Amino acid sequence: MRYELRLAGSGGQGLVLAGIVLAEAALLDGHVVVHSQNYGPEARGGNSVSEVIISGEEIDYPRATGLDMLVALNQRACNDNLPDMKEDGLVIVDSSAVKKVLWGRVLRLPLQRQADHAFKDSRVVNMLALGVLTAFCPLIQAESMGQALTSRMPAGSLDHNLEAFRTGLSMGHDLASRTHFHEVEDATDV
Amino acid sequence: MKSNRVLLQGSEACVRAAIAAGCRFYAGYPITPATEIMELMSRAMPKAGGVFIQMEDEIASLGAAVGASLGGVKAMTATSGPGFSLMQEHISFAAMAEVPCVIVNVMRGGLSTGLPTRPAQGDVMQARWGAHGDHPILVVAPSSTYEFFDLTVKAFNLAERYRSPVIVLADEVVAHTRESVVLPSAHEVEVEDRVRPSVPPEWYSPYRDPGTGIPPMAAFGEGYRFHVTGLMHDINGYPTERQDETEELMARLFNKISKDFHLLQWYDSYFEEGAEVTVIAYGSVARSALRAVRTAREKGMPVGLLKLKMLWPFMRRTVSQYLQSSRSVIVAEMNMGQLSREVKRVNQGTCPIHTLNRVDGRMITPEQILTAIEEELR
Repeated sequence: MRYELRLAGSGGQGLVLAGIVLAEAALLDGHVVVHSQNYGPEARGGNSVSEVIISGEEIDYPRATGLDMLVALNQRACNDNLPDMKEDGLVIVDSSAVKKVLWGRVLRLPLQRQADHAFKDSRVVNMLALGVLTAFCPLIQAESMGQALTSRMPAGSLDHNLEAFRTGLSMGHDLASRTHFHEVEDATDV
Repeated sequence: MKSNRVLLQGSEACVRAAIAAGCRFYAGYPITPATEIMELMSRAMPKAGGVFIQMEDEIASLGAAVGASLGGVKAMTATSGPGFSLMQEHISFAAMAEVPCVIVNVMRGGLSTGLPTRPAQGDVMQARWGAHGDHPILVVAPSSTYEFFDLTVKAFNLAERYRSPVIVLADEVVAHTRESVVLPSAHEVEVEDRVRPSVPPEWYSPYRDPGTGIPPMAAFGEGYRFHVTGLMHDINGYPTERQDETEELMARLFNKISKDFHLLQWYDSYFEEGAEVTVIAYGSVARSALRAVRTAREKGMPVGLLKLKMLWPFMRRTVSQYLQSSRSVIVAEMNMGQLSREVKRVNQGTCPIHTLNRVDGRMITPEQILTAIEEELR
């Protein structure tokens, strides 16, 4: 068993941290895990990618070979990473930033809008994404994510981030209960 | 059940290893992708009762580490390619003056400022030959978080044992990847310390060969008065141009390490049994190679992997054996071909050697290696 997830967006969106939290949660759930990060030389902006591989055994090659799940927060991140998907992989995108997804199993959620309007804090978009992802990832327990967040986030902003995570989680659960996927061949425009 | 598995970045493992090995001095200058080591050291050193200094550049960083080591403290610095170039001058000094120190070079992509956030293995030859003048050097190369810990501890031990600079040649993937890992506890770590003089100060000659090739080392400030120089020196550390003394010093500098070549064959071998093709790799590439070789074995192909954990001195004895037992060898590395030259040098024409190189800042993938293996077996 090898389960691969990738979070992709731009530098400064907190995706490396989100990946670390995810990896920590997988560890708490007893899995073998590898996290890697990939970003450009810029201090802010540029592409940023955070990748987590979850396995039951030793992980030799530490990079993704076929993504089970991709979270893309902008159009470029989505386009660049789609070729790395497994055939039945799930793509989760921010609906305001990603307009076009040439993939069948895709979920669109207003993550950035939720962060900006409900939380008045654009920075929690990574926590919302983590919440949604947790609802769809069969290997990660929500409780472990809470625990991982508690250990990896600074105490001062923990409550704020936990709240965003829980909001994402319920957005995800809500969507999971009423989602039927199109065929993989379908090119979907929004 | 509470597990002692932790999620650790390679850089974090390196810092923990340094502390466990007894490092109590860090001087450095930040550079991607080695900055994490410096950041973590800035917190870890004061907690461990050590000293942390951010220097004005990499030349001064290694200078400070060498000074600290002469003061009797285990010292380290970390950098990446551009900073490593600046350190060469003091690597030569440390080799000449026989000052133990550990230099971590987290290799990044490209020449010059290149691809700072991406991996490469372009400093293999620089680690061996970058410093001026004939000098012996010890270089280890980790491929995982666990090995970054293990080999950093061993690097300190080698530095202390041989009174030599030791280079830990990691790459961006190894330094930045986080993995679930179980590290040995502090009391499980074997630590070696430099031999101190047992004679009174007035009898002490800092560079007199006690028979092992490695003179006992006094710390400045402990009452032993001695001279340290980068010039050719006699057994008392004072400059000399006498033929017998310079020859003796050069011979001793090399022999103290070459006499132990048989102890410095550090490698892991996978699927050795009946392997007709052997893949040779080191650092993060060895992980792609292991994936490729596993897949190849599942398909029934007779392939093995030789993962080198020590790059310099080059493991002639070990590599020769694989060159003799294999029908062909593939050397995979993230450069235009550096260690492959050494493999070719010790080969003496008996075994076809194929190189697999990648220099675009991406890891060599298992598929690339598998394709090369299939080509060999066709």
